[in-house]
Amino acid sequence: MNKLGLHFFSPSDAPKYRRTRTLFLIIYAAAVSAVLFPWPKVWGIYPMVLGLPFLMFWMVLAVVAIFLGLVLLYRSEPEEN
Amino acid sequence: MEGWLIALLICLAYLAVTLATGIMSGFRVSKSVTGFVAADRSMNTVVLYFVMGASIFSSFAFLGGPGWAYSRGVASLYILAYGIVGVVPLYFFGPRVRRLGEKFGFVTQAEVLAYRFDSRALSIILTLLSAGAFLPYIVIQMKGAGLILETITDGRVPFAVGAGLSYAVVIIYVVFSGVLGVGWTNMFQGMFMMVIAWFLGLYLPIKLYGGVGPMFEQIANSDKAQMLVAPGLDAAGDPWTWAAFSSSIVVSGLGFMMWPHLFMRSFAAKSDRSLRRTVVMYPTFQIFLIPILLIGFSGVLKYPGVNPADSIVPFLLRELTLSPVLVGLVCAGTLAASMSTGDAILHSAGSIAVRDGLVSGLGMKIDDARQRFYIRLVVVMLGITAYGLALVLDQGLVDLLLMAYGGIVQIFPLVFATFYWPRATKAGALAGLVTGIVVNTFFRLNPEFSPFAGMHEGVYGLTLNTLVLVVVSLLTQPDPRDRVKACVEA
Repeated sequence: MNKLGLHFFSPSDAPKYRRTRTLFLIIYAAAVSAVLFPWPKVWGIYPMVLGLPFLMFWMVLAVVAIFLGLVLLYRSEPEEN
Repeated sequence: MEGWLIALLICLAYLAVTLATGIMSGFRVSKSVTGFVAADRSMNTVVLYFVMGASIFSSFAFLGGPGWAYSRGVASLYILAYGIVGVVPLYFFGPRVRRLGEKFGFVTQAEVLAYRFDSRALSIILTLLSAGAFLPYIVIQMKGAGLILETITDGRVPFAVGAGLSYAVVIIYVVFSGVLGVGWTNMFQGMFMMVIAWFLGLYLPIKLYGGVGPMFEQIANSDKAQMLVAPGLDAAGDPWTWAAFSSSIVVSGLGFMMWPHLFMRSFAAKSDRSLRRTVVMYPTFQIFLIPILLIGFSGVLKYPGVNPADSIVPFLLRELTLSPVLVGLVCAGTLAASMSTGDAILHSAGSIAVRDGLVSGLGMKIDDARQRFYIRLVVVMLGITAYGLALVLDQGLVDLLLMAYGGIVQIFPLVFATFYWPRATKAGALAGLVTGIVVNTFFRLNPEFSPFAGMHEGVYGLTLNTLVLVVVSLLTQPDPRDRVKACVEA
């Protein structure tokens, strides 16, 4: 339990799993802020990539980032009995 | 044979296959409430993946999504963003929900929260909230089904017949097979939707503009370029604000997995792994919004002024001289989108009304077989009521749904506290939830009081909800340890 009284991990979680989970949360936070904030140049039409306006391509990138992050996290899950 | 008849026959064939799939799946599950509502906790990743995907993508995806792209440009990307952002929490709380369900026999969302906070009132509030959200939702799905059949047959199949026929099929397989009927039909419907969306989304830009790139180039060089400039346009056609775009993503994203019919699927999962794998794979479903939006963009320059914008897909189908087989397939895809959401909603509504409303909320003692019978009865009655409303109601449904969505989001802080904040108390949870719903509804009805123009009202509700939850919890005695521990360590 941390200072705020929030209970994020169970005592049985291995340190390696905690690290991957933290890494995932960083990727996730980055992807979320990528879609939430009006980053300069990102919120524009050009350059078009794959025929899509840049913002649209950016959103696809965020989807791919979260997907890869989830794959990473899933692969580090401890085996179930 | 005439074109409309070929298209209609394809739709009827689709309905027949769906009905057969739905009924056959009912033989694979036990005759208990857990079998009917949670498939005996046996769903594997493949079925879960399509159930989640197909339940999420409703007739809104096929009609409303392209409509947004067509009229509001890149504003429609918020749908893509919130879906991907919103599915991630399920990876973390879903397996916990599943384990609690297995341990205590829970099959609905409210059962988990009512257990943690030891509150009957919570069951009742959540039942009413679900009812308020589900009824307009299901009516909108029925309208989508009726409209598309009416359009492609030039009115030869009237709205009432089209909506009635498709939803008779839905009611039959939901009543007969429960969640497995939903599951197996959604697998078929989901694959069908994906293929149709990808095909049409790439085909239309190529046919009309010579490719996706040239299409966007032409829009960017026209007087409609503004719709490609982030964050797109608002409903009136003026530039949308950043606050509105981002707060819509936040509110819809946090609320996404709080929808009772999606949340409940955690109970149907066979194992933690199958549920986690479903979340991992979900982005591959979500990305099909790209072709869906491309369909809408393809109408921008060639067919300006289609009103309402939601009718852009039926409009394109009618205007372009497409092969009747293709028209039939797209129509069947739209029906699949409508029905695969409608079935999940009807099924969950029945389960919630009986389990949370009658059993937990009002404390009635009903045996398993009776519960199952009542759930089926609610499904049929709700289906008929919604059908009646679909025939008479015209306006206000979307407003009602959006208002309910703001309410659904308010469940998020409670779910979060259930699993991660042991200090939350019953009083805090109830006070927070009620505050959230009231504040949200107030700003929805009185947008002129909004402190930040354009901000999604759900943000105010969520902020005050969380604040009240924390403050009231800290001011009251901690909840009994055993229940808190069961949830936090689930």
